[in-house]
Amino acid sequence: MKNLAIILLVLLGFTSCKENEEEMFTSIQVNLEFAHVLNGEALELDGKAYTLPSGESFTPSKFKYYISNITFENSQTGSTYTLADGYYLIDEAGKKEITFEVPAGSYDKLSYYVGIDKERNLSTDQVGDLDPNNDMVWSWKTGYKFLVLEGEWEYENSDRRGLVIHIGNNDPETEVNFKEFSFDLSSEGLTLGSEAMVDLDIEAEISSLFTGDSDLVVHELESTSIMGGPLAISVANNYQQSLFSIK
Amino acid sequence: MSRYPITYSIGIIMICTSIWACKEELVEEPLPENSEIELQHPDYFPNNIASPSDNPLTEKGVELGRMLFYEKQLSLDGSISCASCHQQAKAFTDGEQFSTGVNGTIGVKNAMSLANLHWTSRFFWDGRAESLEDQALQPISDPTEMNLPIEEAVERLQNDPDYPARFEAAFGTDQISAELVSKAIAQFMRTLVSGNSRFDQWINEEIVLTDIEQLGMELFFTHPEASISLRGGNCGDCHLGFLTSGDRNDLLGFHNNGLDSDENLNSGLEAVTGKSEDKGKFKAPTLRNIALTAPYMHDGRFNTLEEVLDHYNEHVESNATLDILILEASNEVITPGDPVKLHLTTQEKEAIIAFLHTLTDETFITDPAFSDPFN
Repeated sequence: MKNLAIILLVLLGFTSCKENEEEMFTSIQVNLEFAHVLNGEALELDGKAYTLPSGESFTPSKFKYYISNITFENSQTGSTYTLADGYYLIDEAGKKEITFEVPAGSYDKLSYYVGIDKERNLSTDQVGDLDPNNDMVWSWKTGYKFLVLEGEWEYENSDRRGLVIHIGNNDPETEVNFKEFSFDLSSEGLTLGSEAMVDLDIEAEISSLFTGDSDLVVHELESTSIMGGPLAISVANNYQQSLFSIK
Repeated sequence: MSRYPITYSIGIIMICTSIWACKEELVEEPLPENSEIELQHPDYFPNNIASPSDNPLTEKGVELGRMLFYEKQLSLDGSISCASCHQQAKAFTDGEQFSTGVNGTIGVKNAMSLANLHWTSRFFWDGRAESLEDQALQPISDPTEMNLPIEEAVERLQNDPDYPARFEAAFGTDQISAELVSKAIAQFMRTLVSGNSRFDQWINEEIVLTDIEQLGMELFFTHPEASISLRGGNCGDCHLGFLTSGDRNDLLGFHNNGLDSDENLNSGLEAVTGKSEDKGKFKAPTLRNIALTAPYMHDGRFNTLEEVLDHYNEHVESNATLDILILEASNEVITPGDPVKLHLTTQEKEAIIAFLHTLTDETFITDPAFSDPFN
């Protein structure tokens, strides 16, 4: 009799599992995986040449950016969850996948920023991937670079030239280049809540830096190092429109 | 040739002994007199880098490493030690363009300064050593340096009245090996932390910098952008952050800084990777204590910091692998085809040099913990 009771208990346990699946896990593991493309072609940093929207041949050597303030939202209830201290450096030459836990619940909206919020941007805190000694530090006044694209370009057999795009805050008081990106997960059929683990694949299209409200013609630029000033604002405005898409 | 079988048998006996010794120690009490130590450093240095798991810092290991660093028996004729070319008073350099090895042999590279090595990856100007442990033995056997086969170095230490007991204390075995020699020296080198310069005192808000030092610091860490009148010295693109040393990731801390034309370019990192795009790339060293470590560059070609600044300002050679962050850097709007020039003013160059002098750490160069233990 005793054994039977145990079997029954076990069976009951399984049944209740199935009936209340959503409540059986207390958190959801989210894997955000980033893929980088240029004109739809997978990005490589080993000497491969691509064509920029304005026609130049471009051989990229660095592409990396900070993701922060990752937030999941339930647009019905308005409830949100933001990852505390979540500063992630996504680097074509390094980490392109990040994993974290969010409390169990239903979420139909994802948002995050490219860059670092004002307070942390000017601190020396080593939180997440922030390190005041790394290659993403820009200057004492402006904090971190938010997004970096570097490489060599050529146009109609011109001399060897560098394209250096460092986007950060143009000045410490405004956050003009600190850009938010948001995604409607429900329209992608990816609403969170029914699974204990979810993979979200995000693609970054680098040509979006060059096209949008202000198209950039690289070979006509006075300087092909873009590090602050109005041009940096244009580039950030451009990529805010269409850098990321969920795949 | 007849030596080999004997050496081989001794080797096997040694291995057996050391395995047996290990096993026995597992049963015995751990050596009470040795203890792990934590590397002391400013909190704004990266705090997420661990020592190798198979070579944690220990009190006895560091002590032994310090002795080996100053041990002249590790050179063929007993005339020099690591410290002969890495002198504490000169921030562990020797003040020479090229160092002199045993028998007066002259080397081909400038002796690198040693500081904050825990936060750097890849060693030597061409990056051929992947770890400090890997680096530590090479100058001993290098024919242009200490010129002593490593087996002989180990044998000398094994036959020394003092060292076997010291290895026992540090590593739990008195059977000395090349690996343990490298581990001990690497431990000592990891403790060479320089973090009390005027720059550090400024970071800690203990002092203010002079106006010219402050200007120099801002220029140092700024990439110039003439189109928006942003002036910069373009140093911080390669000499990163508080450490002022190269990127630790992969081989990104190696750069071609335009010293030579394509015809005269040294191989540098290319010798290690075999890739032509790495030709002429050398390690971006830390600039801490740079005012003490003349002459400068991998081949010690510049005698003064003024010559270094003049190079970056107006003598960069636009060769095939010149770093694009140097190629695309000027304080004046340039037109395609113009030579690569920073266009700093004389006062700006002086300011950067004034800032470089704030990286001198008097505590570091006089710290008794780093000095010759045989004196």
